Amino acid sequence: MKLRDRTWYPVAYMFVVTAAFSVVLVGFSRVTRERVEANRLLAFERAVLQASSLSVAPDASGPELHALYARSVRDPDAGSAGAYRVIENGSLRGYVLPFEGRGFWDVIKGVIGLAPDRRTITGISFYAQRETPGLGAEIVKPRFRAQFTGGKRMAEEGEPLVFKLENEPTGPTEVNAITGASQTCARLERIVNDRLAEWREAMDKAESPE
Amino acid sequence: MTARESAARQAVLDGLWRNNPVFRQILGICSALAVTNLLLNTAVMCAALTLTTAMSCLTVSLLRNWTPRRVRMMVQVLIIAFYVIIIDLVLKAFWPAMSDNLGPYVGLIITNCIIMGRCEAFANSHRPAPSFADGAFSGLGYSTVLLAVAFFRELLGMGTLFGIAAPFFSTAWDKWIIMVMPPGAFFTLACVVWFLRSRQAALEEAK
Repeated sequence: MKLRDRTWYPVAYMFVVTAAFSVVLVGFSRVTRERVEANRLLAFERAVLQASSLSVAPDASGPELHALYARSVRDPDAGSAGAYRVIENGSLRGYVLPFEGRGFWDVIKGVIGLAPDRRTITGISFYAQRETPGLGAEIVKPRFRAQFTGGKRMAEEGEPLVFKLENEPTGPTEVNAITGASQTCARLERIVNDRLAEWREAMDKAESPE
Repeated sequence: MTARESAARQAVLDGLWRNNPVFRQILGICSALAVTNLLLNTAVMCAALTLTTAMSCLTVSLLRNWTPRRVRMMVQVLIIAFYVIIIDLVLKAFWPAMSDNLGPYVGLIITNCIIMGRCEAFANSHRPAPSFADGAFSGLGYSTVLLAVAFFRELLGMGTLFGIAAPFFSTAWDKWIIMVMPPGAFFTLACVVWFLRSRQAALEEAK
């Protein structure tokens, strides 16, 4: 009886082949892990800077972005209710609040920037999302994000921001959603609003302790 | 010598023209529709697919004499997944922006029917060198059609080619937004397939 005809041969063969390929893959992912990790961190730092009111050169290199981040962004502390503080020349330039929640396909992670008045929105940016390219993924495009840099404010009470249909006129606390991306936009509206409302309450409480 | 030469010629002709995976076999359509609105993304996707197909066919062929028939498809999927994960890791580590652009589509190369089709139909029963060539030219056949689709979509939809503004199309041309959106892929792919198939039919008739 030839080796290949034995009953155990396919099982043993599968084990050997799988083990061999897995060993190579594990080794390779260990080699690249550090770089992948650094890229992920940089994506977050870039998002924070883009959402803040600081001016970021669009072609800034990784090390430049990292230096700017290290110089002007402070980690959240007890007084910022989870938001990063943006400091320039010793004075507060604003807050950047991270948010995350389930999008249509996967978790959407992003940050939204607020001016020192804690109401005016300075920008929005995303550092992890897997929405449909061309539809939901349009939220990361400048066309959608630019709406958040034009002096929009979050409402004093109730829903902080309202997403309206594309092309409908918007007020100071409203932005336009994206046609064809209703699911992504509805979820994003929920995620952002929950986080903003929670933050607004926490910060207002800290401001006026009774 | 002549037999080998004609085999090589056959691999080239089949992959690129006679048996082109996209317009002849209508395989790999999912990614042909999904990643073709920018030429640069398309080019990277095509390179990844061609590399995966060629290397998977080579590996399947190298192992063909030891692989039991009953588990051969499991082994093929394992081999394909191995190369795709390597490519995914390389992109994540060295070109994170591109990795984000392509999103889940790099991982989905594993399920691209062209690769398993070539492994099953050719590499499984042929020697390593012709298998590699067969895989590579099937990948290139896929690439030419995708790049043609992406060329029209990016030019008509955004007025650029590889991100560089094209004369006339970036200024006077009224950009067709639909070309960038998913429906544009359907129209363009259909037109490209229609054109190439009718060319093929005309050539055959002329023979």
